[in-house]
Amino acid sequence: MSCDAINPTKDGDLTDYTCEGCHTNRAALTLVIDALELDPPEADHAAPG
Amino acid sequence: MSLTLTEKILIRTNATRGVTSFSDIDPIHAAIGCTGCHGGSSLVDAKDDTSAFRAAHKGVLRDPSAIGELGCSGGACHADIVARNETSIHSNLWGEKAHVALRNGYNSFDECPADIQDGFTKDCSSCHTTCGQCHVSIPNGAGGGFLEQRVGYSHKFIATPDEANVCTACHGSRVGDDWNANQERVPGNLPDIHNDYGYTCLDCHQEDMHGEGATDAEYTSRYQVADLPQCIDCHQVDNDDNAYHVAHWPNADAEDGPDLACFVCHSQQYNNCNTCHAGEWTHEYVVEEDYDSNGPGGYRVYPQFKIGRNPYYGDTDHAHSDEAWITVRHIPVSPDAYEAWNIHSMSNYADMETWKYTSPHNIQRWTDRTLVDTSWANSRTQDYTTDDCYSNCHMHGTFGAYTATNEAIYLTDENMENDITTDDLSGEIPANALTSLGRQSDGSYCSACH
Repeated sequence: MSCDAINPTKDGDLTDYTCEGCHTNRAALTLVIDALELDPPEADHAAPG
Repeated sequence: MSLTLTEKILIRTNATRGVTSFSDIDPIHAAIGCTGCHGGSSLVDAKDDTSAFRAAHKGVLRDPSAIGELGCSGGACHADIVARNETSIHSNLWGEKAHVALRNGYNSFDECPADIQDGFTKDCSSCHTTCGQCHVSIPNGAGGGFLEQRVGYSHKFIATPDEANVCTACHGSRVGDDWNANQERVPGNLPDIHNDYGYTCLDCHQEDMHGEGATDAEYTSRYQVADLPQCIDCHQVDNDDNAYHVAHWPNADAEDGPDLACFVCHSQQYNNCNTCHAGEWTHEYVVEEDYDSNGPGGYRVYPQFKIGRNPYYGDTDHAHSDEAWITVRHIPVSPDAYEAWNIHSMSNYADMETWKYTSPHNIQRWTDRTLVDTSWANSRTQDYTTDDCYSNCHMHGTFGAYTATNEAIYLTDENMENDITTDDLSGEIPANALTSLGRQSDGSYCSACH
């Protein structure tokens, strides 16, 4: 899977394949995260002390 | 509520303000480059490599500051403060480690067997923090994500972290609730007077956050940290401004009157955590009139105020030893709390008290102890001397009486038997022998004062 595969060319898509290019592009970042299932649901955090 | 992963790692630029890259947000740190801190590779050919994501992120450090040499101390930018922080309680949880070790019969955490060390790493160590988890992001233990969520500010390094997202995001259920007077947990309380006046955590806590060096590893309590703020840092001048201060000022000199911690008179009720390390909890605190629907047991936290004896009074090798009488907070530990680590019972359970010295962050001038005469709260001329001084605090109440009237605010052995938990905590009585006044029912508690 390449970034192209999950992000076919259209306006606003990822064109800058650098760290910052992806991490400043909300749509591309979300597509990558969803495609790779990187964000599983977490239990709520309880402040400990 | 936790942020989504996208929200946690998205650099939110703002083209209309001319903020189009990280170098516009934080030019000094941007000069290092993403991979300069985080590792990985920015030279992946995404069009040809079907594993582009993994190739780009191979070796990436989510939190470079967790490894000092590769993170904030690189190039000696922040070498001194990073070196101190690497050995600090915030980074290492020395106090927790010491308690685990001592209760299990070991002199230090390093001496503990692998079962204990692995169990601690798995279950407890997530609460530690790093440079980045205070100055760039919300600590992982509190959910994570950039501190700055405003468009055009993401990943900005912040020298003075904000109270809600950093300090009380972790220190929330006791310090935060006390400081802000969370009415669900401490109903009727007022926010700390310093909070009302606009002070923040960092107005008092400064370099103590970063520790003092390698000796931090010897601490068994956060109260041993050097440069920890004390009331007298600002209030030394008040030591003789009224009869109560003169009689009770904490100076480890019983000849001039009993030495009281400032908190004994000037703090309100505070949260007590019942069941992180003991019992089962089914709901948050409910007020007494709701007992019918929720029952009196199973609280996670509940408000209480207890005065106890300072087991370290006069011990110059121990911090906070000038005060004979202190406020104590219940932090119960079940004897089988480490069952999951193959520790079936703690060999030295009684070596560490479970009603511990506490410094409630809910200070008020007028409290249930200090407001002896209700006219005082609005008076600027009252000299604060009165024969009624016994009524709010002393066990006997009014001078000359022999019936205990204020026993509810003192820690006695009966408190430890009646505390609300389903576990057998009978071991708490010997563990707190130096803190409790003794047993009320047989009168042995009299000797605490007489």
